[in-house]
Amino acid sequence: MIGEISHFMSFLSGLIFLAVFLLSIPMYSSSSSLQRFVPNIFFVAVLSLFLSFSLFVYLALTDDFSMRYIASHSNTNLPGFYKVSSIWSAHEGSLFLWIVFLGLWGIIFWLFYNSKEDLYVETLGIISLILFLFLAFLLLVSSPFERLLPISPFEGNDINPVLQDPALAIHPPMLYLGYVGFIIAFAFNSAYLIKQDFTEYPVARIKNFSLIAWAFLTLGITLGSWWAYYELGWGGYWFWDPVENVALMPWLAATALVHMLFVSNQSKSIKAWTIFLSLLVFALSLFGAFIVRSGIIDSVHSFANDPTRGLYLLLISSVIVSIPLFYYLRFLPNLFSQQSIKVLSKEYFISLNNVLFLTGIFIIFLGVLYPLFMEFFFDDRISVGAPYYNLLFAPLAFVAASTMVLSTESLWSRPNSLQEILRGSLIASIASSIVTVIIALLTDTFAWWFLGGLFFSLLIFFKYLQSVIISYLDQTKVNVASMIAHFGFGMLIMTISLNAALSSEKTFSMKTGSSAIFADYNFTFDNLSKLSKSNHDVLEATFIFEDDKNKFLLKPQKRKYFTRGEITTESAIKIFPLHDVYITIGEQQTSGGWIVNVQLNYYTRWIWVAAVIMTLGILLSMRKKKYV
Amino acid sequence: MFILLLDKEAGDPVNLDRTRSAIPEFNLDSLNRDFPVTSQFFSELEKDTIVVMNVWASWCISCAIEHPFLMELESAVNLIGLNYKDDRDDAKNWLLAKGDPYEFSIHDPNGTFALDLGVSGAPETFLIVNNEVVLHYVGIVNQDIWMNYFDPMVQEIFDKK
Amino acid sequence: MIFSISLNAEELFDFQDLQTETRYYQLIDEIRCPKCTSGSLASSNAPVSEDLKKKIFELLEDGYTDQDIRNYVVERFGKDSVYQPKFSENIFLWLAPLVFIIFLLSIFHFVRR
Repeated sequence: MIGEISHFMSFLSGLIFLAVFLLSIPMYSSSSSLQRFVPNIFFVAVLSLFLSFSLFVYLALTDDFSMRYIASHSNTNLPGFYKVSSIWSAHEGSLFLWIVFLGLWGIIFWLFYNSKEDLYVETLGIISLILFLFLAFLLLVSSPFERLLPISPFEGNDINPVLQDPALAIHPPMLYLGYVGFIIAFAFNSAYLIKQDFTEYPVARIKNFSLIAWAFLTLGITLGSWWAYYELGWGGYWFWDPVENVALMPWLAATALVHMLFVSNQSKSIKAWTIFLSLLVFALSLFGAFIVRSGIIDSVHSFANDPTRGLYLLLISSVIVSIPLFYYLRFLPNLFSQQSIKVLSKEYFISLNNVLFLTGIFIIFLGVLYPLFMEFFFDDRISVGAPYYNLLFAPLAFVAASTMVLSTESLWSRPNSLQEILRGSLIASIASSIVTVIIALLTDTFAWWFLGGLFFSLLIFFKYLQSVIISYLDQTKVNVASMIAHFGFGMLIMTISLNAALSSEKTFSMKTGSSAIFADYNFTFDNLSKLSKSNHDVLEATFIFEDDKNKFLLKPQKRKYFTRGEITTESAIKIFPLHDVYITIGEQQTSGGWIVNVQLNYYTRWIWVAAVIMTLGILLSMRKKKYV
Repeated sequence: MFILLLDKEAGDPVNLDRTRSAIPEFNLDSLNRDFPVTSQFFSELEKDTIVVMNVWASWCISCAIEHPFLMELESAVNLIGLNYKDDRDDAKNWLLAKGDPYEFSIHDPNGTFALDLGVSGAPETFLIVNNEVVLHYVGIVNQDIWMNYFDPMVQEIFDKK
Repeated sequence: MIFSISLNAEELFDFQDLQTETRYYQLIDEIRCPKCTSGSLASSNAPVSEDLKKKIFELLEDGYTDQDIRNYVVERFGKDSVYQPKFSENIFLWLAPLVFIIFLLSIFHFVRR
């Protein structure tokens, strides 16, 4: 019964969203008397959608296994938290969550954007159209509301043990909140293009929505990285796995967009870039959704390998993106500003920045599609992975760091001389070179990427240090938020470089009672014990680690889950301020010895801290603004 | 292009890169331990002799599914087995229980010879002629697969004779 | 200490020097696990991955260069078992980003609005 109500409410909301869109159409040509009603109708539609989802959550919590989706992905033994998170563990449910978040961001816009300002109704209309299209897809092709009747199972399936983890449960919602948040920028700019009133460009009003969405996206990606590190057992934090790449692309576009949104305060130009990036971010989010669900990509992440779904998603995404794109290309000349960008002005640097970000996106796009292309047309199977991306992204990041540092000397809307710009960063360059050489000598590492990573991140630090000192002496203000965010970026480069250069690992074959030496640690394989838990058996190895200062235990495990017979490896990690000691056990050899892998991972946690610092900077920048 | 890709079937199981490569050196036992088997076995065969080598193991469930077809195949070709990363007794018992379609099986307990051939699991099947791998199929072989992939090559060689 | 240490563990692979060891860990990051949907040898403890890792160690001992080892793997498991596509065969992949950035920079320089 409740399942039917939930289903109906989704269906109803879809229809109402369509109505909202249709009602918003007259707004493009003139003011309409109907415009008063649109926001209210929108609210009703979103309410219906939220009710539908709430009921679905209730069904999951109360173990209603007459719903096929709930029976397939949940069971009575799961704690409530995981019953709820099982909703987004597979295709239909996660799409449902995506749609609910679309509604959520719609309501946030509805709530915080001044209804008397331009483009309010039109933006709601476009958001509604997109909601309608996705709801139609959900209900017609990927419905979570299918029933198992007349005989419903008493118990549901056991879910993949790997999914029963707090970080992994929150990772998708965080990411979706990020991806989906850019709908506001997308819808607003689409409405702007379709309306064709190019005299003003009030994009500052939607800045904060995009900033918050960016924060969610960044944190969502960071959470995924953190989870992968402790769960997957090989000590890496980023794999350039196709699905990771497909999340990185919108992130790059979003970061470029965020820069543009700040610019719009200072300078009236560069409208064309801002609109383009607004469309791009959401387009890439949709593209990401399509790839993950279509089965084209081989990945440990892939959701559903169903070609027809992929086809429909492709169709919907193409429709959603091509309409505003068409208007963009048609009216591009009107979007250009009257004056050209002055050489080496801040606008110049920011536009240059966009070029770099777009190149980054292109590299990933190429890396993901090239193997597919080669396989399809030439029957040639190629793998593109970390070596390719790392080799290309390192120089790109270095160039980005340089332009960033140089741009701090630059002024708005005015040409600057190259000499002045370079001169401002001279001291920082020298300081950075010296410290780079010192660190390289201390760590005995001279790889080009390590030296580059050190130099450019230190360049950022010293330049900002210099700015802070000067502003203190001059009694002028600094943009704290911007500094913090960019400092975070510098820290990201540095921690990634240090982690790559300093981390080490060794593999041993050990029997119980034996000892070995790794780095400064003397460690002993103390014992192996068997335990039994509610849904799995555990083989736990205890290792005693000792060096001059510390003594601690680490207990890596192998688990065998009853229902599916899956075997997982659980790592054991000891956290120190600057590094982790990380250990896993592998297979037992015919000789009786166990394969033991020990790693020292440096600065891994600080990589995530850097990401959080960048996010902090962005959030800080939202203070003291008149418009939301 | 995406649309076309979506229709394409999942990966081609024939290992195309490996065709026409020489049999690597190896030095192992037969499963029943009655004689040693080395790469000389292949190099000393009469010209244009066709050998089908099937990679199998007692722990491999798909091999059990493939097995009946191999029993049929036995009479038509020279069929030998490569027992992959298996305990000798477990393997012998498996053959006793199900039937032995192979003229003999090579026992490769550590999978070293298999690795050198590019084997990544079981079942896999090789078509070997004149000390060269002519076809390397990854997956279960049945009547259809045999007719599609193996038979054409076998016919070609017969015609040459 | 009260008890004596009875057995010392062996390193699974006894590398001849630090450089060889570094090369080993670098290689297993670049080579794909033949049996997994995606992932390097380093990230997999599937039996065939363990076998291949052992073989790579042996090849390093025998004096094979990095490229020799990659060739060994590719000959047996296919071109897609190495994560870095060969430059000579995939020039497009490597040069396209460069072309792209130059193209964008040119547009930017001439339009600048």
